[in-house]
Order: sequence, then structure tokens, then C-alpha cells
Amino acid sequence: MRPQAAPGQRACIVGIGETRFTKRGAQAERGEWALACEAATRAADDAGLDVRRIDGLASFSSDGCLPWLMQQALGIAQLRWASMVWGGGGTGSCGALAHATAAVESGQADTVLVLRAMVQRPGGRYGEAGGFSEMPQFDLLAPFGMLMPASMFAPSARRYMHDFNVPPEAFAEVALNARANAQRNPRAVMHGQPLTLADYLASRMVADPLRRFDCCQESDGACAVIVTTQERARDLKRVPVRVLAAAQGGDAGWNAATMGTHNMPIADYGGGNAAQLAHDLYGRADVGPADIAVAQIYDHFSPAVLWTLENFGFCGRGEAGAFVLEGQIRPGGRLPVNTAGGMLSEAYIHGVNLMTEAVRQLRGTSTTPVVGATTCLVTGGLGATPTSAAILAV
Amino acid sequence: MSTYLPPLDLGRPTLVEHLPFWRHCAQGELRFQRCEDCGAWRHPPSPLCPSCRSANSRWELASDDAELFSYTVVHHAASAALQHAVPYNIAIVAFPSLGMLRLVSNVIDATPDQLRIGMALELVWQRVDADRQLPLFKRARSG
Repeated sequence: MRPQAAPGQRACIVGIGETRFTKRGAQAERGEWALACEAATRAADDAGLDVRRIDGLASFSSDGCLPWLMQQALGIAQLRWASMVWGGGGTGSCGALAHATAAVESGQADTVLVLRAMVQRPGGRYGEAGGFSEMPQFDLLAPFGMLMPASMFAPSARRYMHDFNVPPEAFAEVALNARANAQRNPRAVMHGQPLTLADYLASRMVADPLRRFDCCQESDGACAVIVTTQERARDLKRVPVRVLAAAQGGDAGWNAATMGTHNMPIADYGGGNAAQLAHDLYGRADVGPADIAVAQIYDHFSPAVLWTLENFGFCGRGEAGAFVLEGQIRPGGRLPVNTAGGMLSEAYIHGVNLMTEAVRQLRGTSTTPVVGATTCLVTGGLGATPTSAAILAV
Repeated sequence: MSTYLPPLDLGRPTLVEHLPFWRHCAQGELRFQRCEDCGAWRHPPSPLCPSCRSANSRWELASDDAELFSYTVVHHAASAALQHAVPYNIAIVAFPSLGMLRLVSNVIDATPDQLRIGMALELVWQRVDADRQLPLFKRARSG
């Protein structure tokens, strides 16, 4: 057991804020900075906190809303601390929360805003060549046409199906669950657009075996959460959601793996890189998989949800297909997953919308509530190391 | 001679450690880095051996036992240059006698339904321009 901060000094989430979520490009004229400011002020209003009292900022994936831009727009009175988690995509979503937690528990900052704003511009889309040209191993991928995340992930999905006899219906179930949950969530971009298994199976292949509906959306929007200590939370208006643990990690020998030359340890091929992280996280939180009531799992691609379920011990290696086909991630199942629709069907805000949904679940305000849930797992993107995850509780 | 994919002006090396790999390719030799002290093969290239931390390495010729470890057939053209190339495959090629070291490549003579995990592959070279050749694969005659 690692040393922990005294109870009053432990981190909790006291406010969440979101902009409207739209398809890529629909909010391009407002831009990421304005979206970030809207999410930040909404989070502060939600907490009952003067936004100028935020004294720390944490983000990831080279977010363009630099600390001084946020200081300028929000009128931050004293910026004490700022942090950027290394790595692209949503690998660092819960890493930013882990940094914020470390900052408030160590006293380096009092009130930290965790932030991500997304406007996918032409030329900067993740599904487009060029978006990854600065990645250090891209020269070993690009000449062979491996230019986008879907084609980087697809061989792992193919091998996983082959090794464990996983049918396409297991991937479909992840997408269908997300879409069904989005039908109850009016904020979801895919609200009002239900999806059937037949629609899924008829959808076009992007990178075999990944179909269109296995791939997350491209969205514009921003999300923010505010982290402070439990002691300070007493003066604010919301019931605090405790951060039992938030951590980064990545299994030995994984390196860039699916986002690189696919030279992870052979036993981990067609799987995730979060097994060590899961072990570490449960240890720090002093809970196990059986204690987790609901999960918000990073769903850039539907097989990643299956691998995360295995890495975090909800089922054994190769068993997640059967687990989801039994209905276990649906409302009423053993572990309801992505209750707002996830990135497949709510919006792709690099996983910070998974964090805000986790908070809503624990406040009892989710549109697909898990009655009596007191713990929620949130995970960051599997891909290059480090990935990240958090366990929240009330 | 036509190439499997149109030349993509993307992905020039950013790490100096990768330069010998591409220099050998330009000469029509597929060589991987091998630790001079413990003998472990490694790819992608790196300054230290992850098994023993030695900085001493040689570039040795790959074995000829390549097999298809996994693959995808790409239907979405992520670049305008690929618009007429889809669907194309991306192969994860493994070398069992090099500790299952893997290389990202393409199988140039297989239709999507001819690809099988485990199938034997044979190295072929395709020239991109005056100073670049790509290590690609075709179905092995015996396989």
C-alpha cells in the first residue's frame, strides 16, 4: 500500500462542465479555446466556485488551450501549477486526472481544472494521413499504408478474433450498447439514431475487421472537471466524488505496440496494455473488480472495450466476447459500460466525457443510471504506453 | 514496374536509430538489429538492448521463415494518394527464428480472401524512388 494523503487532503471531483457535442467541424468557427472556456466556467458553476479561483490546469494530447490562454480568458487570479501528460489521443485522459490529484494532495495547487477541447480541423483529423507524421515510428508504418488509428488497431483485432474465436457480434455488442445508451442521452451526437445488429453488419469496413460502427466518432466539444481536496469540497455545493485512485501505466515491453510496429510481447498481442496499471490502481484504491459497479471504458475502437474488460479483471483473457454477448455490459448487467453512449455514440472528447459521465453516475444524474452505484471505473485509451485509469467513488 | 501502393510522401525517419534499417533496405537487404552481447534481435531499432542494456549491436540479415502473423484489409483511403489503392492489405509479418520479431509490411500478391494467419511469406523488394526500397512480401511457393 502506498502512502496516502490524510483524509481531508484527498482529492475529489467537485464540478463538471461540458459544451454542446456536435459532429466534427460544426463548432470550428468558435474554436477550441472558446469551447474550453465554456466547459471550464460550466464546471465552476456546477461546483459553486468562482472560476478565477482555479489555480492549476491539467490536460493531455498536446491540447492547444495553453495555460496562459486559460489564465487570460478565465481571469485566473493565481496560476500555481500546470501539467501536460505525454502522449496522443486519449491515453492520458485519466493521466491528467492523476496529475491533478497529485497536485492537490501534495499541496502544489488547491483547485485544478482537468480539460480537453476538440475541434478536428481538416488536415488534422485522426483518420487522415498526416495526423501522425511526427510520431517517431511512423516511418516504419506509413510506407505500407498504415496511416490511421483504425488500420493500426485492426491487426490486433483480427488476431484476437483468430486466437479466441471471437465473432463479429461481440464487437457489434459494444457498439450497440453504446448506441442504445445514447438514445436516453439527449446530449449524445447519436441521440435519435438507433442502431441494429443488421445495420452494424451491413456497415462498410474501414480496416477489416473494424467496421464503421466499431470506430469512434469525430466530434467537436469540450469537457472539464474540477479537482480539489475533500476539506475544500465542504465549502462547495456538490457532494464530492472521491478519486480513490488515478494512475498511469503500461505493460512491460509494450512500448508503442499497436500504434507502432506491433512488437509487444507475443502473449499480449490482440489485447491491451493495462494489466499492470489495473493491478496498481486496484491496490491504491483498495478495491477489486468485484467492487466496481459501473465502468466508463475508452472506446476509440470497440475491441478496446473487450481488452479493457480483460485487463481490469472483469473476465479472463479471451473471455470478454462471451461476457458482452451475455449482456453483462448492458444496463442491468454485471457491469454497465459507457452509460452516456461513450465515444462511439455520445462524443469523442478524448475520454473526458467518460469522466464527466462517471461523476453523473455517482451523483445519480446519469440518463442511464445504475441504481445504488458507489464506484465507477474510468479508463483512458489503450494504444501507446502510458495509458491511464481512475476509480471514483461516493 | 508498378508498386503495391502509390508512393506516399509521408513517414521519413525522425529517429537516427532508424537510418541503418532504411539504408540496408535501399541496398535490397532486410537487416534487423541484434545485440552483440546477448544475441537478442530487436525491432523497431533502439539505442539499448531491452534484454541486457548493451549498447553494442550489429545489423544482421533477417531469416527466411517469414509468416503472416496478422493483417488488415484497409477500405478507407486515409490519404488522397490511396483513393485508387483501396482495398489493400497491411501485413504484420513475424519471423519465428528471430523470436517472433514483427515487421509491418504488405502482401503484394494476395487477394483479401487469400490471406491466412500463419501463411508462409517470401521477401520481395519494391523501389519507391532512387534512394528508397520497401521490404514487401508475397505468398511463399511452398506455402
